Amino acid sequence: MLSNRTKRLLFGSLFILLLGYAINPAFAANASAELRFYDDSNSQVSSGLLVKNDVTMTLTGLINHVVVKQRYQNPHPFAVNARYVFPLPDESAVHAMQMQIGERIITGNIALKQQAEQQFEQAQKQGKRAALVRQQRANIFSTDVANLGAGEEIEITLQYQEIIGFRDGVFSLRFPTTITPRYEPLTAELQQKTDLETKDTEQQNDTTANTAQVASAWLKPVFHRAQSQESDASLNLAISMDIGLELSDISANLAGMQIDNPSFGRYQLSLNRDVPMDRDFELTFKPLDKAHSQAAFFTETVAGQEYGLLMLVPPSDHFTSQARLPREMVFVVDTSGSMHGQSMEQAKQALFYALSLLDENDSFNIIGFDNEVSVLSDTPMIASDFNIRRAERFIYGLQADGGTEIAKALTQVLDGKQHDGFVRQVVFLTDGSVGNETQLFKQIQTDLGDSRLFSVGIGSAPNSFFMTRAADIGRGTFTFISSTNQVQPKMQLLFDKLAHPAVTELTLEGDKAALEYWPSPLPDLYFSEPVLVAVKLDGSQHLTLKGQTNTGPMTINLATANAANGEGIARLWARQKIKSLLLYNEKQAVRAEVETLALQHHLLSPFTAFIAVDNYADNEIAERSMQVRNKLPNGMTLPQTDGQSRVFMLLGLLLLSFSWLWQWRR
Amino acid sequence: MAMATLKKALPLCSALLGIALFVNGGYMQAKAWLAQALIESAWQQALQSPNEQVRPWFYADGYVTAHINWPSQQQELTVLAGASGRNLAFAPGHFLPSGELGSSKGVLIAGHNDTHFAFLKHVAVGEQFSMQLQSGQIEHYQVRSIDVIHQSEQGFLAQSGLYFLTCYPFDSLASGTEFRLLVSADKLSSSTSTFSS
Repeated sequence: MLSNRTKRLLFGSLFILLLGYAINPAFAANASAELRFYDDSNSQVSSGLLVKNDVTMTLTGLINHVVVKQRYQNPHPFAVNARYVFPLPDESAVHAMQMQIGERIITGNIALKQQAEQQFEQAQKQGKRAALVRQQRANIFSTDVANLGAGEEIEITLQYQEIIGFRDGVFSLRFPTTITPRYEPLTAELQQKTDLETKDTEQQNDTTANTAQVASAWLKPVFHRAQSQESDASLNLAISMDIGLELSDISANLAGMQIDNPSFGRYQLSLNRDVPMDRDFELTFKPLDKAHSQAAFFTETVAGQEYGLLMLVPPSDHFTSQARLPREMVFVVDTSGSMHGQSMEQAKQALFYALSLLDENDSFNIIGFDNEVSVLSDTPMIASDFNIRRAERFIYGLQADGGTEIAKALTQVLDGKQHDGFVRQVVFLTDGSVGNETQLFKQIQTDLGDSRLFSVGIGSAPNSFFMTRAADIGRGTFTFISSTNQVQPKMQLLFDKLAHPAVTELTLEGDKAALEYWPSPLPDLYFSEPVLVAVKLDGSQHLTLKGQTNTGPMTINLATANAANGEGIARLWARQKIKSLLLYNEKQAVRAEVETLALQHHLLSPFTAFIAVDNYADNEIAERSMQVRNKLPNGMTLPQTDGQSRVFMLLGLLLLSFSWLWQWRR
Repeated sequence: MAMATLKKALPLCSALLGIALFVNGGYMQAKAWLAQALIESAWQQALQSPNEQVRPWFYADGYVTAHINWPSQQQELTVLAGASGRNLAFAPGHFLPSGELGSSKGVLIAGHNDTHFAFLKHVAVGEQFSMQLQSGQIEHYQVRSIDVIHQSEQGFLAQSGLYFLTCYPFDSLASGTEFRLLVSADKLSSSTSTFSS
């Protein structure tokens, strides 16, 4: 038996030992740890180059004219070549570029991409300042600035046009600020080889391309941590709207937006602070008087040609139907690593809500995919209470992990068949972070059958280009859910669309000759959606929109005489044509046609680029190339790996010894 | 009177709470280390059939994918595919959005900082270790750097190498830290062997 004194000593020292261990972590910070940044080409960089984005939007009618000013600042004591990869809205028609150095303004020229790249390289070697703007994908662009001197500032101004969205009685516009990192499946290597031809032009002239970049042939954005106080790229925004309608419910997803209403139908919005560029900016507004906003027609005459832009919402009685066909709904949900965090939560909520909207006559199935596919059931299940509960458990167990191999999921879900007696609708929830879009579009086109594909974009910066086009080809619609509180209203709207039969086989006819209109063919029209079409009028006075509804043919007549004048309609027509050409054809087959159109209308395209060269060469020749880092989309994280087991055990021991000491003292 | 009851009850309560906490923590530790034994045997099986996905127990979520041998830290760990919370309770997990194991891309393996990857605290730059793949190939690595990064920072994956990641700081009282300890290693060589390390 130990003496009391020894016991006391023993416990006392045990207590102190444990206490010491408990406090230890606070002092144990690893002294050798530090923060570092890396760029894409394997070299460490100091936080450097800054880009300030000033965005001015002018909305007239349905068209948004946007001026984006990118101010590049080089804080280093040496000259650099700067590169910035940035997103713009999916259908943006970039039509002008200029470079400003101090007081001097150099207007950028549109040129074939290869020529522009050669010119740029030459200028770079001669120590001239130059800027090159290229389109990487329909919604991803890059600016290169050569020989940006020490401490110098260069401003690149881009102008683009887009048609604002109108859907379910709500106007909307989006300005993306960062890019969700793309997953390129390893199994797609063979496919990429066959694609090489198309990518040749980019590779040959991209002097900085290393092997990794050649494989995917597009410039990758570089990301950086979102929490830092200073950021490399920041945004300032001003919008003036002259829609000609009184508006209500103007709302933006960024806090601190100021709204003024100086006169009837005119609105001024501004965001007078730099905001971190880690999520898409979204602005929505409603016309106060809904009846007036159901049709709009604008025309513009360029070089003797009259172009028109038509937006029209068919009356809702075209969508009603007596007999409701039973449906088979397949929910496909992306469970890849890029969905980790908030995105997965949104997707799960959307699925739970979708299940609650199912009808007893419907059957359904759920497919989760990352680089593997997991299915709820091998055959579609009746939407009974029991099955829905089973589905809920399945959804609950979904984990965001793995790569995004959409092809496998598409193979599983699209069978290329015609289905008699029921409608087959595929709802596809994803952030679309894939790099092999073209290949996937082709797969959807061949395997669709009479199924319809509805894409739902999830997360703070989804690849909406992929999802809009997937829905286009899949003859469905695209829904964008940007936060958890949007899940319910947006899913409800989607289900309204799914519940009503669509207007199909839409065509536009003129009274003179056959019209050239884009998009062509016109996509199927769902409940509360507008037809949006750009048309070359060729002297037609009256237009007729025809389509097939569930209850018979639909005809809507329009007189072009009532049209308002719009600026840039011709450009929008050209942009729509380029989009349709590239969407439904082999890239090389339509290359010449796209090049001609793009040069004629001064448009950026996969084959054209803007180049501006300052002939005044006094600068030192930059030896270093740097890329401006983009922010990771809000909500993406690395795995959480902290465990408290040791702390628990320690606290447990402390408490035990405390009670022991207490007992022993008495 | 009430005071006296309280005085009596206090040590009892604290003892019970202490036992509960200790058992809870001990359970997590036991689960982590006992599972490694099961996973280790699954690994031996996986080496025999390199093209199969071997699950350590029949209802497991993950399958074994690599084996790490770190002699200077006396660590031998079997890695599961996928860094989901359920996998990480049993073994370090390969973060699947990062590069494939053995590839020239940035490969990330994550583990809990109180069990399997607690040893990362003691790792120094320059230490060497090896990783065996299911094909039997053994790759040798050397620690290049040790950094603390923010959880949203994933740019390092663009650079090739093997990355070990765990939450930082260690033994913190609060859960859900935003920081991660990142141990980066470069591949020195690789060799093929038919028996395990």
